[in-house]
Amino acid sequence: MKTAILMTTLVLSFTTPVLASDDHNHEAAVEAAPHGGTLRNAGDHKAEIVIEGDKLKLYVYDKALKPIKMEKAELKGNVQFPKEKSKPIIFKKSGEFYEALVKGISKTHRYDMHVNLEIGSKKTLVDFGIDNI
Amino acid sequence: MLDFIIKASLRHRTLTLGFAAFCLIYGFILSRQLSVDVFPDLNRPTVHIVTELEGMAPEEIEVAVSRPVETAVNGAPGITRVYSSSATGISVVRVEFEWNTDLKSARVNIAERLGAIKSRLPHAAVPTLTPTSSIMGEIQMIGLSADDPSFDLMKLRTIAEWELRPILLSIPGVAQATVIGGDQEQVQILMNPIELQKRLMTPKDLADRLVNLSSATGGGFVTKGDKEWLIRNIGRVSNFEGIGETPIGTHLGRPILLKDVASVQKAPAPKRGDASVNGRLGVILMVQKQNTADTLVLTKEIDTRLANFRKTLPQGVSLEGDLFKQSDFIEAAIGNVMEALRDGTIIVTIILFLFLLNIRTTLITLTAIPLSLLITAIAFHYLGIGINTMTLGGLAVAIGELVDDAIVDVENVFRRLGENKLKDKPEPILRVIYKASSEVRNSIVLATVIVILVFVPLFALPGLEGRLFTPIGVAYVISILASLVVSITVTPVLCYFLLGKSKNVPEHDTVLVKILKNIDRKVLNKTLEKPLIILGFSLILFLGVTTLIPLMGRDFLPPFNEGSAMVEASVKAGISLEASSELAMKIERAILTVPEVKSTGRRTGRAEEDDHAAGVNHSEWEVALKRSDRTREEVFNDIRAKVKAALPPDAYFSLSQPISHRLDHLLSGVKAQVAIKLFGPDLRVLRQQGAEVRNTIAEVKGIVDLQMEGQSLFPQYKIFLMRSDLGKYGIVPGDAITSLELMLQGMPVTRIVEQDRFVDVYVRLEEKFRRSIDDIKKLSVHVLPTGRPIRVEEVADVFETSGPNMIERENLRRRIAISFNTAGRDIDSTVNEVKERLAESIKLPDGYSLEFDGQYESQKTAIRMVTLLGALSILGIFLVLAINFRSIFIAFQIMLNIPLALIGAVLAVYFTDRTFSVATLIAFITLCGISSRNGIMMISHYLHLMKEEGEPFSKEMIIRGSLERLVPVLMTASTAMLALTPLLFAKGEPGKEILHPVAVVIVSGLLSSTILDILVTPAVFFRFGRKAAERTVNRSNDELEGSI
Repeated sequence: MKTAILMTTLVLSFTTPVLASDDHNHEAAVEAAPHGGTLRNAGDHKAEIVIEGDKLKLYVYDKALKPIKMEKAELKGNVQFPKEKSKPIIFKKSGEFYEALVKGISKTHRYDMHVNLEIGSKKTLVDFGIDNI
Repeated sequence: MLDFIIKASLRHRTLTLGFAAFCLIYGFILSRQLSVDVFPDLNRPTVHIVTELEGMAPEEIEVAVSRPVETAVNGAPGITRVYSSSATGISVVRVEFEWNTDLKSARVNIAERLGAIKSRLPHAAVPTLTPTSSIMGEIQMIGLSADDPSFDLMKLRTIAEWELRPILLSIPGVAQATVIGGDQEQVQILMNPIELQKRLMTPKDLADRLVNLSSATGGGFVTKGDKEWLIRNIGRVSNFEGIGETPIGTHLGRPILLKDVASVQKAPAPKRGDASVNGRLGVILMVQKQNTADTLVLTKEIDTRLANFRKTLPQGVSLEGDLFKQSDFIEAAIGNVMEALRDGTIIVTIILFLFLLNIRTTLITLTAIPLSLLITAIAFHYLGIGINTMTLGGLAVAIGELVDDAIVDVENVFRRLGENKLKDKPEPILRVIYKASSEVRNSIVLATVIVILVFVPLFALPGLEGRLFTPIGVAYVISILASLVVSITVTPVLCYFLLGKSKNVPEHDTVLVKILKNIDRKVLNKTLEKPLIILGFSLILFLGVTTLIPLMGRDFLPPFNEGSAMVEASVKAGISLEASSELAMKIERAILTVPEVKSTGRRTGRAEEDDHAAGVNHSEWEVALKRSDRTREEVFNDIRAKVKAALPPDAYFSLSQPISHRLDHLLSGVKAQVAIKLFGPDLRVLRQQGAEVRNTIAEVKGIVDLQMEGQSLFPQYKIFLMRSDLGKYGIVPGDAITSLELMLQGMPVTRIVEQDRFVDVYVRLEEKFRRSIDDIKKLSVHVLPTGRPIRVEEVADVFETSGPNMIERENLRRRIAISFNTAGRDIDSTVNEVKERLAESIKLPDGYSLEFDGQYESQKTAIRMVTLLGALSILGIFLVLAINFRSIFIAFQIMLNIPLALIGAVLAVYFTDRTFSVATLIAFITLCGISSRNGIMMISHYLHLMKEEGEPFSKEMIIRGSLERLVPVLMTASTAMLALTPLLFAKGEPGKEILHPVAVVIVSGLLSSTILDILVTPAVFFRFGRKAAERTVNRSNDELEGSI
């Protein structure tokens, strides 16, 4: 039984983002973000990604765009480049935001990023469609 | 010199009066010909270059058009700044030149430079210089709408564009008539990709074959004998029904007709703007005038043409000619200022008569008003100055002072004639008049020189502020100079004719004068004994009021009352034009429920060839209002509440007035007091750094209305061609891009002529094949020789993303602006704290920089300049006084009147508007000049009594001098004050908005200065002036002498 649950979790954690990236059916980021980045809905919360070259910063807010306290030391997710396999990504806590470094990410024309957020007891997946064109 | 002029005028009396009569008539004629406008010419020489490229994203527009155009024009002589805005489908480059640059040669320079880069721009990009006009040049908004909602909007647009617009453009003085709304008629060839594919054709193949769909060429001549025939090759399409039958090639030996691969229809062209009139969909024409055109004359002509045009309209179509009319405000404003001038003149007449109780003296003095004003009109004509609220304001402020010089002269002549009568051996009348006029000419001229000197800082005011306010000073100084000329030429001659032989010259004072003198005598007897108490009291008052200054707010201009409103609203970018227009209609219907609303005209998005690059998420309404019992604030609050209720909560809206709104645009480009401009190459970094700047300063005390300008994101689909995939099929990227453009955006291939109008022919894909992004992915971008189509998704990465709705650039660099206003704290310390915080917290990446700009910067420059020149001007006044009286003490003593005047003025501002504006500053400048006059008149007379009549420096001499000068001092002060009372009680009336605070300052300042002057000047002079007076009298014994 444990093996079945583990397998299902593993399959889901890899397939869900891939399916999402195929559809690109998430809404476009048009709302002004507090740090000038890309703002997305994440369940009852909002998340903002700020890109500084190959460095990515992730901020999490409530619906009113007030920063919320996150306990987790790191957040896991993956990056999906067009017509390629997805790669894992880990955001580490750095003060009021999470930070990750993905070498060469600023050189690609676009990528989708999916990050698993754990806010309190709730788990949410947040999608970002980023293009460098 | 001055004595010579007085003497010559008295010698050639008939000639003097004849010349005065000529000035009256000539001035009257010229005054009717002066151009009338709302403001002086505020146009900084600016050239707008508009380039349209339908459907292109701001990023592409920036790269393909804005940057090459900016680079090309940059470096042209006289350029100060180059701005550009790249929005969806449009690039607007604004080139600003130095003031006084010749706009014609600037335009020629720009046109030449644009010609040189034509080949580097996209084929469809045609940069156009917009006609010479300005934001203030928008003089009239005209609306066309149909009573029946089902009326064809294409027909309405055709009427506006092909019938009404040519009429408007044919009127001399009209620069542009921009049409927005309705539906533009277009012939559309809608390709069927399946049928094209069957015949191995690509969209590009079809478009290439349609370029000459409708054309005609020349065939030379055929000559036979002595005759010749011209040959015409005609392939022109005369009606669109025949277009489908056009052969476009062959396939497998069979002819292909256009109708085989496409359907042809007449349909509305895609648009980026919409309009409505009084809550009904319609068409709006915004008329812009040429810079030199007279708004009132032009509006009258437009109205006449509209009246004739109205008769030709189809039944059920209505035309609204006055959705917005600048002339309404001008007429109301000019009418109100004229009314103030008239009432001021009546009040001055009454005051003069009350003091002099003599019709003849009143008449002589009053002559100065029309004569000075009409001489000013002659000067205006030759200096190229027109009538506007500013020049009329200058005249309204001066009206009470125009009679001052004449009063001083007539009063002295009148008194001297009376004294002469009592003499045993009276002198000849002409000599008495000459001596009396000559006696006062020194103080008259000195006072005028000081008035001019105090205005010097105003003339040096830089930029638009200078353009706006200098005319007040010019009008004021010219009219005051004219009144000086009148007082030393015409006034003495009129005194000769009307007073010389009159038996009514009094030997004693009038009752009013007697009462006033008795009071003054009693006061003087007490105050002369206690000069230090008087001086100390004045000093405490002055220091007391200076503590009020920091408590007052600052504003650039007092608010106008234009009789109309302007509403602007923006919803989140990404909304479609249809949805935005629908929302705008809902708001418009809400505005129309306000009882005072007479009519509304709404524009959403932008018109074709409009240099106002508004997105489809932006709407603005011109709201004409009718008068009611409610105040403007109440009506505006009502409109504000209605608009707010109709808008979604995250929408932005503002309520202002049309002319004020345009003035704000002119003054700074941004409405805020402070703008922090961030420059750099990458839009993402700019957005992020801009947000950090905003977050860093958000908590600074005193900052309000903090916002980050533009660059809101809107949704996009990007079709990114993968070169590696294109390579697999041997597809040239440019061909694929052209095919995509043709299918999705469409391209104009030709124009056909129908009756006397041109109709564009567009080729595009049939809508059912491009409804969704999934449809688009499946479109064929290329057909292989085998007949296999290559779909978009096979060679491109198609994804959803977002992009900026507008890219702003300044001096060839991308920029965003973070703007704010201040409240509850002075602007300097607020900006200093902002600068400190930014220096501590913001580390900009290499290649990025920030600058401070906005109204604050221009105001700061203006105030610095005015302060510096103000100090120089005060030094100048001091030197003039010191040289004239040959005494530093006397110069100081006269200038003591300035702080005395400031006491009343500051108190009055504190208890009324509690706001300092540039208008208040001008009033303070004026006040410095007028208040000095009292001191000059008083002290000159003390010296005159000592020099001419041998009076010793004593209490009696001071009392006598003060009493003899009491009447002219009170008369000049009361005429100057009371002439402004019509403005004092006209707060917020059209045309008087700027003049009201001016009147408050001058009237209150003169009141305090006159009352305190009567107490302070004699007391201080008596206590401290003995040495200076005796030295001055001894040094210039011949100062006041003269003979005829």
